[in-house]
Amino acid sequence: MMEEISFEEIKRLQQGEKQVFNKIIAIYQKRVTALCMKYMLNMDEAVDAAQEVFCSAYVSIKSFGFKSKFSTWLYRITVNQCINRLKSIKSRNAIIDNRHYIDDEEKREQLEFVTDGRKLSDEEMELKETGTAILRELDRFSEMDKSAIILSDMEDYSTGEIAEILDMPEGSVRSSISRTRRKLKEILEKKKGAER
Amino acid sequence: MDKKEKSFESRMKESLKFVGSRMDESMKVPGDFADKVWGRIGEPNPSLASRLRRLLLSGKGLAAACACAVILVAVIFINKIYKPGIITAGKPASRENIAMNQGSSGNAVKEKQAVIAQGKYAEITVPQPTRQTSGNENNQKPPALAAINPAVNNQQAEPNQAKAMNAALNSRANAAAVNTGNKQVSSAGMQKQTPDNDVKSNTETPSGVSFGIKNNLIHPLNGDMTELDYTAPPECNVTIKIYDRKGRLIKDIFSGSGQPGSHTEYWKGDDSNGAVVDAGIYIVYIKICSFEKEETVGVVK
Repeated sequence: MMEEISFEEIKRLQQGEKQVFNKIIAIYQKRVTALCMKYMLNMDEAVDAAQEVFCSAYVSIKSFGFKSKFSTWLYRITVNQCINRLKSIKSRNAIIDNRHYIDDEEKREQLEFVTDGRKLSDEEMELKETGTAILRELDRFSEMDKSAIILSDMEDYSTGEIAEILDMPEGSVRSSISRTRRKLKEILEKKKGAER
Repeated sequence: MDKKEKSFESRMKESLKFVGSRMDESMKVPGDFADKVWGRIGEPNPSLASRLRRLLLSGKGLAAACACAVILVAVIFINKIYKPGIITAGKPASRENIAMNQGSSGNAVKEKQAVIAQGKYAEITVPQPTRQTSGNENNQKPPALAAINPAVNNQQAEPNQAKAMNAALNSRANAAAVNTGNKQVSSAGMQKQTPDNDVKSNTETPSGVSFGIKNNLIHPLNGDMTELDYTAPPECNVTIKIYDRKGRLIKDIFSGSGQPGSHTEYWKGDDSNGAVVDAGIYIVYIKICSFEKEETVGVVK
């Protein structure tokens, strides 16, 4: 069970008790940074995005209405922050040389940390290969489709929670997930066929 | 959804989960994460540790830390090394000053208290010293001179003289604490009283030799004089000399085989030519048979 900040403490923060925000940072900094990492696929970018997330959360803490869990509210800010960043990176790179924002080689290097220097078994190696390939391909999908897959398959959120975080109907989340998976399958199979 | 598609879905989920968990495991959040967040917010981190860190890193904090360190060192120096306040600003010690010294060095401090305390008469009994003198006594520097703080040199103004005397008397007491661990102070001696500035210490040996000094802070121009009382046994050489703080002989008060019994000699703050000496610290050196003793006398003008 993940630690959650209580509503009581959030009320105190809303009333001006700034120390409470340090507790929020301590509880959620790792989770938020990890989620940013799954979007940005770059540690420095992820940390930077996570700091921006907390900054936004502090500024808009008074708008938290106690209707959802605080973590859900914070993850919504995180997802929006990451999506906006990815958009701005994509448009920046499009202006520079019209290439996809990070080429495959660069991304492969960035994902090397996944092995963390540990020797992987054959099965783990295969999982890693497939997982990193999916992550690379996910960049070609819309931000909402990518977010639905990340939150569902990497973060283990339920469809209801994803709908709340992404602020969209549950049915849309379900269809987005199944559509993205199907497309991913096609792409990966095509790639496999081409390799053979 | 056919079986093949289902198996791909689960495979995909498993792969992403594996990569995600490896990412989480290898995630290292920087230590200054919170500070950087507060920096972006534009407000100082309200945590106590952060405030202290900021204070120390700022110039003011560093200055405050340095000031605290200097004060701490000064307090340690005053309490453990300097031990101030037997005579302050030309006046005899106050009870407070004496109290400050009480916890510092056992018998030596008690001796200091007894000798210097305002208007009090003290009698101190000292066991026969084992130290023997040799060579020409006239040229010999009294051992107590080594104990005088060199910082008291060239004292001219009266308050400074008092400070110098204070330091010298402290040194004497401290040296006594080191050298005579078996020295005993008579508590009854604290009860007899003499007028202001009349300080008398009476030192007696088990063999009947005794030596006492009265009025160890004199103003020669006002006719003050130091009274030196001693008792000598028969067939015993007695030497009483005055030295300055550098060990130079100022005046030979008495040398020779004295009559047995109690005697009193006086020093009027003059040298062997009869001229009044400069203000400062002087040592009265007395040797009766094999017993020798040094006392400090302050001269003010």
